[in-house]
Amino acid sequence: MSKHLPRLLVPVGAAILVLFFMPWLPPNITGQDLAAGYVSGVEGFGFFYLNLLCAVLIIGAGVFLWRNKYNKLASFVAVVSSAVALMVTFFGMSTLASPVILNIDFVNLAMYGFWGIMAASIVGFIAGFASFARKADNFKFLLLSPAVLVVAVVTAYPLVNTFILSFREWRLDRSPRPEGFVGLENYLRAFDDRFFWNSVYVTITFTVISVVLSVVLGLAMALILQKPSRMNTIVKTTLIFPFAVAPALKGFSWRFMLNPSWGVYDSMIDSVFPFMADVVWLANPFWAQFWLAISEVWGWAPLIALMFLGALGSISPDIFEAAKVEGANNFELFRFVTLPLLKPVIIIVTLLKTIFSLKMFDQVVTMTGGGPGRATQTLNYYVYLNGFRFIDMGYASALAYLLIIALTIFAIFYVRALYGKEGI
Amino acid sequence: MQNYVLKKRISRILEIIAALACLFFVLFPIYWLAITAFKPEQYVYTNAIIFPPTLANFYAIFGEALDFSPYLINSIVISSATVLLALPMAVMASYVLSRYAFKGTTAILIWFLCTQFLPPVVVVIPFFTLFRQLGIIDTRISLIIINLSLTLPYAIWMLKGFVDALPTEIEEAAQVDGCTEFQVLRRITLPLMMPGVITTAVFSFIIAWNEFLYALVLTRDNATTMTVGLLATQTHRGVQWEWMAAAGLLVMIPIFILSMTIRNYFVEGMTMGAVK
Repeated sequence: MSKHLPRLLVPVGAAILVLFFMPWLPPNITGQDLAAGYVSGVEGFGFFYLNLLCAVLIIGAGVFLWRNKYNKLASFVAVVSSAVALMVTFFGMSTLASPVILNIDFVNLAMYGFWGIMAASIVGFIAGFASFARKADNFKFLLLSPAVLVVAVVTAYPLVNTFILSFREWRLDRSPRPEGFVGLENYLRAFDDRFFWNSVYVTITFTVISVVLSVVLGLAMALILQKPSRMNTIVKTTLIFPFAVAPALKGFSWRFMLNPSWGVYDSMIDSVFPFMADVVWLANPFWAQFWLAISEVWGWAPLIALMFLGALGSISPDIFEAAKVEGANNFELFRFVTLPLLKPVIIIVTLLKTIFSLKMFDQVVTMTGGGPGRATQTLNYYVYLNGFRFIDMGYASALAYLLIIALTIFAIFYVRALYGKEGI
Repeated sequence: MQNYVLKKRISRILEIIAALACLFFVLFPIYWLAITAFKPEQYVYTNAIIFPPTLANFYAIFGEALDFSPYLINSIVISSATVLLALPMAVMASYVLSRYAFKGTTAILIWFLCTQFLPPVVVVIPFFTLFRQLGIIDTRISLIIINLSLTLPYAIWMLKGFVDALPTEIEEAAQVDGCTEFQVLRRITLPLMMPGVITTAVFSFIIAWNEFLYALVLTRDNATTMTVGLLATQTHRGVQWEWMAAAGLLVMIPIFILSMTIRNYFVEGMTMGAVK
């Protein structure tokens, strides 16, 4: 009996934690409800006692593990249950910290409980983990897990959370926490929203312009700088600079240079094409989109040129020699030798640039602010507007998910193109 | 014959002109921003390239008109802390992902790769609401946590490339001589990885330094970084471009210096090893 009791503590503890907290949490719960035992379903069985129970369970798990060092299952359960307990604590604390009127005594009690359970679950976690990692072949998991955990928290958690939010109503000005579930309403709303379609159109236009120009200009620069000479070496070393400039700053500096009264690019263009002297670049929908794309191309084309230069450098010169001996002229050399050899790189670069164009955000804020009108409101910016200007979190989440779907398609192609054949 | 020489000479001149055009395209915006930062106010709104240089704009953004010093400190603290938190985890993870093959290695690597394609606006929505509930909006710690979503998967990928390139024989020899697995990593592989670690640190620093959206959403006054601080040059008279240029130069210069130290890895690094 004494041997089996602690063995039971861990799974029972985990089960209680999951059953009492996680799935039944109604959307509009307040701290008062928690205090009254609303969540556990048992009148008077408040947070504090539940916390105590969890703490006892997890400490029990720790002791048990300490005595049975190499039990894989037990260590696994201990790790999972303490992780769940930590999450519950985190949630509970954030509930208390949220702006709800609460009974002060309750808050104090609950806080002690939370700190207790947090300490206990950390102990349980470390104990479970240490026992797991003691075994020689578990060493790799010990090293890998901090990174995996952190990446899960900072990327997988938002993905899941945004997904759930996209099915809920939540206007921050009305309620401090999510309101009820509304099914697909947020998504349906997007399809009826002409500003959403406008942003889709803007995003596609921007992506096409910037991808085509970046790749074409990048290829052109690579071909120009391909020949070894002192001049070209100097130019090549400067190619990394535009990409290193903060995108937000790119937007500002291009806006400065395009100003109709004192912008330096504006006066250069006016002196070459006098008929364009009257164009106010960023007040014209077409030109605003164009220059927004150019500010992005300015960063990417040199980087893409460097990628192509790397790929060109790895092509054997014998191939070009052979083609020349066969009588190919420069154009034929490019069309039938260089281009086919660069094809894999071109595909990867195009996909990569497409993904980053769909994600582009910073320059919209600092260069055009989405204007003139809505001419440069990309989908990304529209999500931002809805989420953080109109503070409509549910709708913003749904829009964000539509963006993710588009990105996922390109990401799949990209991963296929990179690793499809040979694996990582 | 003479025709041939002439043709050659013309094509040489054309090549130089093309290379100069590239140079102009690449460097001109940077050059223009840099000289604007040193222009006195009456020259800022002209196309003059000859002017008496002045530091007045820098005095203006450090105290006389605006105060950029907290922004600068925030940027330095947040970027450094992000790097210092991400690197130890990345070293351990990349070592495992490179040296041990087990079920799920590929899945984890592709997962980490795909996180780079996640639009930041998706990450920031839940974290904004979470940080708001926890009351840590507008603190450096919140930005450090969320910046890990950009830098950590990136650093792991980057470092994995470096570990892959190291020969395994030394590690095997060390193990034969009685090192434990952890000692192998600490005493043998880590010192050999050091150039890679430093390169990765520089890249992660650049990413965190240039980050804009997270700082825009999650900060108000206390934790504002340099990139968001640029917005402060927008006054009721419109953007004060000479201040913007001066602040912009401060955003740019550290990154340029860092980029130069790692320029041989730049392409590989900025594309997560898509093209080597």
